[in-house]
Amino acid sequence: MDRGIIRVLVAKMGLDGHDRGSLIVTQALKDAGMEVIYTGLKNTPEAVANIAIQEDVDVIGISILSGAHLVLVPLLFEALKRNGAEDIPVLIGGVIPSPDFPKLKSMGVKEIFPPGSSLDSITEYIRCLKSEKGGRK
Amino acid sequence: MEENKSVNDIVKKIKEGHVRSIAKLITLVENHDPISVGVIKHVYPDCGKAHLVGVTGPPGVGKSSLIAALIREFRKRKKSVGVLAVDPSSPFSGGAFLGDRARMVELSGDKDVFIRSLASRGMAGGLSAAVNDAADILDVFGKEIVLIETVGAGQSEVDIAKIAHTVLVVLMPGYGDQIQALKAGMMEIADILVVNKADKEAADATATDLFVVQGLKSKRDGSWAVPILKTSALSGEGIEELVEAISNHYRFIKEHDLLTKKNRERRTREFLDILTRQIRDEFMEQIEEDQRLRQWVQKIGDLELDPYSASEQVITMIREARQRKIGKETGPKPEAAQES
Repeated sequence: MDRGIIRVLVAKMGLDGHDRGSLIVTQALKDAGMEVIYTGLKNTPEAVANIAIQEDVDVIGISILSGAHLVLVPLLFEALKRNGAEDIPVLIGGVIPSPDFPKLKSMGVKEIFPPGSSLDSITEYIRCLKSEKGGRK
Repeated sequence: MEENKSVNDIVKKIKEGHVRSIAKLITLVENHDPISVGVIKHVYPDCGKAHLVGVTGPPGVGKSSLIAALIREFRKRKKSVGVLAVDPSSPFSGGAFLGDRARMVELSGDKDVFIRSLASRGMAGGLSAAVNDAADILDVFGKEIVLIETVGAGQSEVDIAKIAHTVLVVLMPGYGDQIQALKAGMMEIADILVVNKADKEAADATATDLFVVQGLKSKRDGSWAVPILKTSALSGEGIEELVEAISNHYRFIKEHDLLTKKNRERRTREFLDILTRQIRDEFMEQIEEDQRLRQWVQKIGDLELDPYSASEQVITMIREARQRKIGKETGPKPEAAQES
């Protein structure tokens, strides 16, 4: 049996055309030996939930630079819940003002990686998440 | 016991069409988890309803965008569609960037479309080792069309022809001249040749080049004349015709008894692959445990015994054991997995 390779979904939602950050993170995760599914731009929260389920990812990484995080993130959690997938951890990266951190965390976001976060901190965090789960069942 | 319970649980959920269980089962297949083997044993008799369509071609010709356009057209015709999109794993980190879905954005909301990205994980033929079982799983899940996208293949990545019923080889204007088209490999596996990006200049010239070469080639499926179609995944031009051609090919191979032949060949090959792997694993395990066997294998390393003779000796032993057994009984009886 293979060691379970970590699968990550990197997604962009809503009207947000900036994908440089998400592509850099995608590369870093790939270089760390993970399989990264990249959605491309302008997905709906419902579509992101569907993709996460079909791709059976260990974690969802959302990049938001549009300022719409407080609107889109609750919609994503609703969609995940509706499809019985609220157990998939969600991380957020991008331009998020620090006063919004507690709000996002209370919605269920596991961790937030604002500008200046090191790529290593992201890959390390995801590795820890996976080992906490004790492998996939 | 625990394993049996999981297997039965998964089999039940798959037959109910539970999407998440299907996705998780494909992960188990990818990870060579024994539970996935248990599930395949149960659902195997239900396979064989889906039309498996391979989509291959060099990187950048628009395979993913073409698949997105094909899904839209198949959905118009009320067909449920599964997609297995293979991208390469990094030989350095083992990681992968699976970006095919980015071309299929608006289809992720459709409940009758199931798309799964697979990393090649070291396989060289343009596919992933999991594709065979994953295609069966989508088949059992009720997908009428299963589109399999290979990694951007070069000239020898032709494994898709061993699995798919219909193979599309996708090219684009300016891909190469007649000499390229005459080379062995990818061009030989095409059931349908597609010149994508037909909105670009020189699409006609490429199609003509292919047409000239087609006349010089031997045919894979008897009298099937390989159509050369121009498409634009961008504008939708030629997509309806392509879907027609795909359906025509399926009908053709059914009418000419080629479908059964292709399926039998695929299953026999699959069986031999599994058998070879299991014999090898079993042998490796025996060597670990059996010191006499280990010493015998060491002789090969010390140049006292050549590997050909050693292999012949093993085959002779198996043959003798089989003859002794057949003497006692009537021979091996193939048995399917029992429903439990």
